[in-house]
This record gives sequence, structure tokens and C-alpha cells, in this order.
Amino acid sequence: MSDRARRVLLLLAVATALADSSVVTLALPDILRRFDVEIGEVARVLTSYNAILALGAIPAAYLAQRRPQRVLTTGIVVFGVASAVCGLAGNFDLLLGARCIQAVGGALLITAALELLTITDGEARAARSWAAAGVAGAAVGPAVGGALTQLAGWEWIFLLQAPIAFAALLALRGRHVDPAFRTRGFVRHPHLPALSALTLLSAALTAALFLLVLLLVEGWRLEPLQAAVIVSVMPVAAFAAPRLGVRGPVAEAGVGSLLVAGGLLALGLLPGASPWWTVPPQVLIGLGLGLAVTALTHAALQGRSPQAIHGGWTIAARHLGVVLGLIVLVPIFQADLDHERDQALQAGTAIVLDANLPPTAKIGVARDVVRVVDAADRRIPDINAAFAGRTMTPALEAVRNGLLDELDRAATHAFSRSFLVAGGLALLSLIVVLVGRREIEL
Amino acid sequence: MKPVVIALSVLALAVPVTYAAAGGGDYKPKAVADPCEPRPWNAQGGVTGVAAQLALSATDGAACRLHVSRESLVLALASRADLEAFGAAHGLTNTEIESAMRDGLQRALDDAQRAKAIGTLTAVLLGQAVQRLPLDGLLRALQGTTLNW
Repeated sequence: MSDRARRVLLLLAVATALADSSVVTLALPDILRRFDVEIGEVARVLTSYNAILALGAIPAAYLAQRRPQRVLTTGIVVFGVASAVCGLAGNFDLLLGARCIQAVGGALLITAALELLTITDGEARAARSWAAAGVAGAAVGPAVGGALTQLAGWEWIFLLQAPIAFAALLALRGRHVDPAFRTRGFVRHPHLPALSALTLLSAALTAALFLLVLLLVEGWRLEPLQAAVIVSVMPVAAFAAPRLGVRGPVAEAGVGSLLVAGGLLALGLLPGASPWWTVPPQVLIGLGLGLAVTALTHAALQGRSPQAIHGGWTIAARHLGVVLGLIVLVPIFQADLDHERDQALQAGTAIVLDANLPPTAKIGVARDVVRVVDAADRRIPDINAAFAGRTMTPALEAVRNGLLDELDRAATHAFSRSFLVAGGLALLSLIVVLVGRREIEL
Repeated sequence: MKPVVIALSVLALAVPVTYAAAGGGDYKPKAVADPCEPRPWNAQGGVTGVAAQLALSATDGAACRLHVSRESLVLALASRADLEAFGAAHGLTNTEIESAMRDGLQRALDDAQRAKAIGTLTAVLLGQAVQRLPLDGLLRALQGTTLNW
């Protein structure tokens, strides 16, 4: 096998393990329905993976630095087997447990892959390709997950990860890493400004990678495949970012953070419920992700050795950020969802009461609407079901459209404050970049 | 600073500002009408329509007295349990709710009489009934018209 093929297989495994922090976002509504759990509980499918990855990255990096090849093999096997168990899980607790083990395997795989790439390709090239794989994984994750959820079922997100991981074992076949070539040297202290900015930026990006998907699927009732097409704007923009011609780590990290902040603030100020409104903000977020995450990861790795350990710090910072984002944003979103539900219920009641319908028709519509609202059990109700089987007169059509409009308004506004808070986190990341610009520039 | 950095920074600020200018901050469920503001009498469908309009007007009046929206009161009237939860949430006793509902029904009868939807005799007889009916009877009277959700 050529060196190029080995590198591709390794980077694909790294991208898969890093995509795992966001790949299930479009599948969350299906997982929520499959196991009959609440939004707050289903978010643990994301938090458990990210928390374990954040906690496990540094110890895994120390192990990887000593025995990269053995740690990589172990990481691939653990990640692959745990992925298969996730896909076959028959209950929610087993899924959560397998996700935790998957994260342990992911931490070993990601850090050992960096160490191995550093040995074979040199520090600069290894850091560049490893960071790019991480950005690609995070950006592509939601779109790929959404497409798989609709076309094959959410289980296939995990079932397909297993062969991708195991394929990376081929990259190790017949290869022995000579310890003499291993990076040895002084472990410089972690790059605090870059890692802090990375944590804040990752926390902000949680809104784009998690809440935006929920808004599209649960709020605006899009199919996962449609939502996957919509959120594919982000990875396309992320891949285009390096071609913009922004040069220098401070410029890339600074303008990247500002772009992410601008995109998230725009998502918090959506003027309508059309998915098209999300496209310009996603372009900003994708460009910002491509510029800032790559630049900050580079800054944290450049001139520091061993690479695996500093790579471990970047992984820990990123996934700590994701966990922080979920801890901060999910309660805000849930509280706002409850508030907006009450507002929408009152606005919907007014529409039915004031409708130009005979009183008996109003009673029938009201009963059916209340039935679907109750059946939704704190989720967003399917108003169309309340009108199924009715002969639609213009007056009845007006009532249905009015109710759907109120529902769209409530769903959109329920996410608004979370996006604005996430925008604030991205601005904090910008401040950290500006304050620590001298160290980042070095 | 390079032009591309300036251009991207301007873009990052321009998109949220444009969204705000397009009404982004105001895209939320519409506020419900103030129940203390008079609404036009709009009865449809004969006696049933008049009864429905009476119930709506009565809930407006009661909601105005209780300083809540008509819609939240209507939702509370779905059942006795909902009404008790509503009372607890707004710090209202059964007596206060009962009194407000009587006032609301009386206001609705006055409105109906002014709109010539009912005659004077009917208004007086219904007014007497409203003053004597117990809370459950008032609830049933409202639920029997439009509010049996």
C-alpha cells in the first residue's frame, strides 16, 4: 500500500472519530422517538461522547506518545466495536454506554494517528493534515448523519463507522515504527490562548451543529434528508475557507471567530421560518469554522512536541467546548421552548376563537387541535393532523395556515436566545484571540 | 489590515444587521388582544352563534377583571382541574374567578343587548340566572356554548 493510501485511511478514521461529536445531531429526533426520551436526555448521546473524549484525550496522548502503533490499533478496534454496538443497541442505556466506550477508542485513535503521522510525514505536514481532517469531520458530520438517517436509519451512522475505522488497520499492516524516529523532546506548556479560544469557539459552534439541526427537523418539520442538504452549506463553506486568501494565524482565528459570531447572531434574528434564511448565516459559520478552528489547532501544535500530547490538548479543548456549549445552551433552549409553547397556544387559541367559522366547526377544530397538542407531549405538534379528513373551506384553510404560522414563529423564537448566547461565546473567543495575539502569532 | 479581512469582517456584521432590519427580532408568536379593549359583536349562525358570541364576550370581560388574557382563561375553562391549576398559577381564589366570570357574563349580556342580538326581557332573565348560578353551573353554561374543548 502506498504512503498516500495509508495516510488517507488514517485521516479518514480521524475524521470519522471527530465527526462523531456532531454526526448524530440529525438523528437525535429519530433516536428520541425510538427510545421515547426527552430532548434533554437525548442530548446525552452527544454530551457523553464529547465529555469522555475531552477527559480521555490527554491520557490517551501520553499513551500514544510511548507506543503509537499499539495504541492506534487498540483505538481502532475499541472505536469500531463500540460503533457497531451503538448501531445495534436495543435500549437507550446501552447506546449511552457504547458511546462512552466509543469515545475512549476515539481518543486513542485520534491522538495516536497524529503521533504516527508526525513520525512518517514530519511535524508540519502531519499537523496540517490532522487539523484539516478534524475540521472536515466536524463540518461534514451533521449532513452525512442526516442523509444516512433518512436513507437507511440512524443505526447505520454507527454501523458504517465500524468498517471505516477497521479499514485504518490496513494502514498499519506490514509497518513497524522505528522508535529511533519517534519525536522526542521537551513537552512545552500547552498553548493557553489558542486552547481557550478553541474551547469557546467549539462551545459556540455547538449551536450550529446541534440546535440548527433541531430547528430544521423538529421546529420546521423538515425531513432529515432535506435538513442534511440545507446544513451541507456549512462544510462546503468550511472547505472554501482556505481559498479566501486570509493569511496568518491571528487574522485567520480572529476573522474566523467574528464570522462564526455573525452567523450565530443572524440565526438568532431569523426574520422567517424558511430554511433559505439559514443559508447566509451558515456560509458565515462554515467560513469561520474553516479559518479559525484550523488556525487555532495549528497555533496550539506549532513548535511544540511531542505532537500527540499537544494534539491531545486541542482535542480536549474542542470537546470540552462542545460539552460546555451543550450545558449552557440546552437549558436556555428548553426554558424558551416551554415559554414559546404557552405563547403559541394562546395565539393559536385566539385564531380559532376569532375564526370566521360557525360555532360548531370551531368546537370541532379546537378539540382536534388540543388533541394533537396533547399528543405531542411538549414536542412541536403536527397541526396538519388536526385537519386531516376535513373538507377545507377558505375559512378553515385560513385557520390552519394561521396555526402553522404561529407554530413556526414559536419554534423559531424558541431557538433565538440560544443562538444569540452562542454568538456571544464566539465573540469571547475573538477577544481571547486578540488578547493572546502575540503568542498565537509566534 | 488586508482587504479580504476587512471584507469578511464587514460581511460578518452585515448579515445579522440585515436580519434585524428585516424584522428578525420580532418574528415570534403574535401577542393576543387586550381583553379590556372592546371587540366588535360578530354573531353567526342564529341562536348558537349568539350564544357563542356571548361566551366569548363573557370570557373577555372575566379575563379583563382578572388581568389575564382571554385565551389563557378559555384554556383554563377546559375542565375543573385546569381551572384550579390556572387559579394556582395566577394566585386567584375560586371566589375571585367566580366573581369575575359573573361580571364577564353580565358584561356580555349588556353588549348583546346593545348590539340588539337579544331583547331586554331575555337580558334581564339571563342576568338573574347569572347572579344565581353556582361556579360549576357557570362553567357548564360557558362550556355548553363554545368552550367545551
